[in-house]
Amino acid sequence: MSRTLPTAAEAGDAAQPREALLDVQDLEKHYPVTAGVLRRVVGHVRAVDGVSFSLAPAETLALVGESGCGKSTLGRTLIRLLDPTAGRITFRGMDVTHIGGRELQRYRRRIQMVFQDPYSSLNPRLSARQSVAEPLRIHHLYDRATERRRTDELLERVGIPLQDADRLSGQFSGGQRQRIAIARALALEPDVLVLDEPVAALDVSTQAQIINLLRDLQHDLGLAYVFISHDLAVVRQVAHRVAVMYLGKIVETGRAQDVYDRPSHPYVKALLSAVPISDPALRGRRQRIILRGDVPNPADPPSGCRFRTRCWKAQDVCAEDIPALVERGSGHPVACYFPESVLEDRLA
Amino acid sequence: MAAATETPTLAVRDLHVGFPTRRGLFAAVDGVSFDVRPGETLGVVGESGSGKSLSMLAVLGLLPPGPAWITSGQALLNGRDLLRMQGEDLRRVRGGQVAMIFQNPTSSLNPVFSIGDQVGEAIRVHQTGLNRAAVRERVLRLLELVGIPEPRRRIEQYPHEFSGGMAQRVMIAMALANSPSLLIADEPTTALDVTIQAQILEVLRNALQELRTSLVLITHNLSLVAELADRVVVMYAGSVVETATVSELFHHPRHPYTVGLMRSVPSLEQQTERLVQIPGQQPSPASRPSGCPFHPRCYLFQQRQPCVEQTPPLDATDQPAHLAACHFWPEVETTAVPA
Amino acid sequence: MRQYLLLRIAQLVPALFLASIAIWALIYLLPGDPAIAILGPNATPEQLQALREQLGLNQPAPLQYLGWLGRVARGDFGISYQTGLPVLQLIGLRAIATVQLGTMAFVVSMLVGVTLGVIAAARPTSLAARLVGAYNSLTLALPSFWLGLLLILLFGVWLKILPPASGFIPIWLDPLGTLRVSILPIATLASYTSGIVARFVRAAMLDVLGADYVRTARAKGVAEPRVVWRHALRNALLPTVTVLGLQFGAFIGGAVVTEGVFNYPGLGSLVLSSVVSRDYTVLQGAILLIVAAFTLVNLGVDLLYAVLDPRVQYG
Repeated sequence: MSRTLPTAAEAGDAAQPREALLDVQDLEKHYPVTAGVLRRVVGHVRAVDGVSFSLAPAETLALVGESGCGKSTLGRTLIRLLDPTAGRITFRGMDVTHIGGRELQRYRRRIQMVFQDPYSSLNPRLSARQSVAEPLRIHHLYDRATERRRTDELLERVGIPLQDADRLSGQFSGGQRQRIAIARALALEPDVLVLDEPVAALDVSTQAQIINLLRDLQHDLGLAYVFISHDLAVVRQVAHRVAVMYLGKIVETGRAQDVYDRPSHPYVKALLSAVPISDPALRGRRQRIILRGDVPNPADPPSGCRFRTRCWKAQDVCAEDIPALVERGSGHPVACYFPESVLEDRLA
Repeated sequence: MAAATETPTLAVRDLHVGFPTRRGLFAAVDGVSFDVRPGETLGVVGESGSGKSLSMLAVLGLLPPGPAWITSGQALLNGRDLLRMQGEDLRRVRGGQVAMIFQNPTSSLNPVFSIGDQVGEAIRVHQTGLNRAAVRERVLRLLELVGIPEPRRRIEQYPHEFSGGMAQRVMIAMALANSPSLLIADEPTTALDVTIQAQILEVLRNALQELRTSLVLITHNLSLVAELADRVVVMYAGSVVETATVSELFHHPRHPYTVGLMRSVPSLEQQTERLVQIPGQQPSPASRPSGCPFHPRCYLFQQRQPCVEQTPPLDATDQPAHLAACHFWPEVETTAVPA
Repeated sequence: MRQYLLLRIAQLVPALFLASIAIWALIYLLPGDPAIAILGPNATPEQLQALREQLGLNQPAPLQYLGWLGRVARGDFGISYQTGLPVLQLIGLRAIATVQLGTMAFVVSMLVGVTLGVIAAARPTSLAARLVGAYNSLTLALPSFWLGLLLILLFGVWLKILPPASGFIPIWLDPLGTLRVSILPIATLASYTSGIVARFVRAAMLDVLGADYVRTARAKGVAEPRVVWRHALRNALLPTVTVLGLQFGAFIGGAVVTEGVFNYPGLGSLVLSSVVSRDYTVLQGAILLIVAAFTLVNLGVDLLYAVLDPRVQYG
């Protein structure tokens, strides 16, 4: 049973997303920083600082970045676990940025989240079946019999044997728990799943199982994924399009093969070169860019381009204005005044 | 690289680590043997629950408090058996000849003491003749060695003022303080971002080269092994299933688990049709299968008797120094891995 | 940090103000008439009325309160109804006695409690740990008056090695005498608290001993005693300080029962006798001072955090 991801044409491509499922415009999420005994606001942590993208049906958009880049905050803001400080989120044409109450509940049926830690995102005192049935109960969807049939279907689909369905969540392994979490997320038949590092806590062989499962589900159910991860190799295997984030902003975005094979932003280039090699024969042959220092404080980011303090190409103009995320000759949008134009020498 | 005839820095022989439960002995490490040669980097690869961390913790007497651990076998450090050493002697080895760094650098540093204090302590415990100023000088030099900027300012700071990458550099500095002959690194970069990981790998590489220390690198990440290791030991369910040089392991694996593991790793270069997955999951020590521990998940098993009846010994294969614990290892090269 | 300190001290004022209202009101509402308490049951109504006029007891309550507050602000806590002595003087003597006893008991309970807690945590399965557990249960269960009486009986009456009753001997005048006289009340006061501290320290230590940084210390080759007493205890003390602070406050103001049993002239027994004799002015002054002391101790504990834990920053 082999599967390939739908091609760019089928899924919708970066340049002209067709009837976008989810559209995000200039989204911001800032947290106030207080100091002094009187709790004066002295600044803001700009976790998400002006992010725009769209998501088409049945496509996977990956949000990639390292810790502190804002990808998790962005994911939570999308499902309105957090309220945006500015900007707009549109779902199927409807503005969901500030909705509440009944409307918000309806929105939540269409977009669901799978979290990183399978050990804490499931209530250990609920059985697998109960965890999966919970969303159905909350939304009062079905009568008991139908509910039972539906949860059985879901558990089977994610590969949890029915004879184990009544065991407590705490008794399953990490990979199995993640499957249960996915089944729970699918219970309401959403259009979009936001997955926040869904395989980061799993072993390699279990990772492969879950990635295959996610791909199968996308193919069978036409789900769109917002896939948040710091693992570039995993993202390569699941994403149609990629958006790389740094300090709250998207620095480069495009189709996965374009961004991976022809990265234009220096940070993306450094990121890709930092991934350890997969074959000892490549030792010493890959040109590795080692970035100096740490990520700057998100409450006090550098002026202009956020990456300039660690960038080997930084010039004066980089400190003056934030470069816009636009197409600059590489075929996909990049936020840099001096994007890389030479093909990176990466040996296959 | 050291020749095979030199005395190994560390020789582990038939190591067993477990603790008694009502249902019998819970054997987390079930008869593990390997060598670490002077100046070499040995990768110990396995998934969680394979016993890779516990084996090295047992060697140093650092098993977590709680269960009534039972350890048997030998762990010869330059000829002396660490497992037979009494408290004081073993304590002198720790941080002296053998040092260890761990996975979570920020929680591995004591929050109430300064960095200078903690690195200094590593020196003072083993080199008792030094005065304050001498220790401080050494600490500064160590901080420079691991690439911490502004060491004179940072030496007074506390762990919460350090990022994950910087904290791991401090841990490395502490570990190298007494020029150990062996450094054990247990998942040193797992908790770190990939760009920081690259920095730490550089730090390790340079330090190892300068001091000619042997390294045991415990990890589940095969690419780290591809980067750093000279030889590799693959562990599964408490046993060693394969030992080889790193290029032999990657290009000509001789155990079906190793093959499955490598194929499961997602590639950065291109999107594959379907990731190979190993069906099922690693057994817990309480429910270890009879015979070969891997056989229920193995594509070579094909219901053959030896796999169920006899635990395959870690034996030589066609290549010198390439050992595999599989009854049917010659078939690994020729059999296609099912999708 | 200085800003924080000033702010906290400034916060004391409204806190004490509110406390003073509460204290004054509670005592005012106590049943019983101070005039009768002073003059006795045989006084005539005219004498009682005259005394009440003299003491200002016929004024409306808020006026009485404000009058009192005004005087307190000037340092005049009034005159004790019973003894005729200035309240401040009366309290002063007693306070010194209580502080002396309380501090000694505090030090003892802290030393005993911390030591027992560390031992129980460092070797959880040993006989010592089980003994500590038994000690904890025992001290929790024994009422202090019963323990006090038992100790008096044992050491003072049967064995006759310690004096059965105690007075206050300032430690700077006669240290040895102070010790002889204070051992039993200290033991009584400290027993309950040492049990609490031991339990707390044990729990905090068990937590800390499993921490990654303790593993690092062992991996560095640090000797086990140093790992336990320096690396682990420093961290386990952080939450313990809170408990210790509360207990210290309790010693200052709450040693009523123990002081009663041992006939010790401290604040606790003063408060008790003032309640019985309706000596309002003494009561008000004493409780106000106890509240102020308690609040200052709490402030001290908060500041201590900043000293002990480098992660804590105020302001």
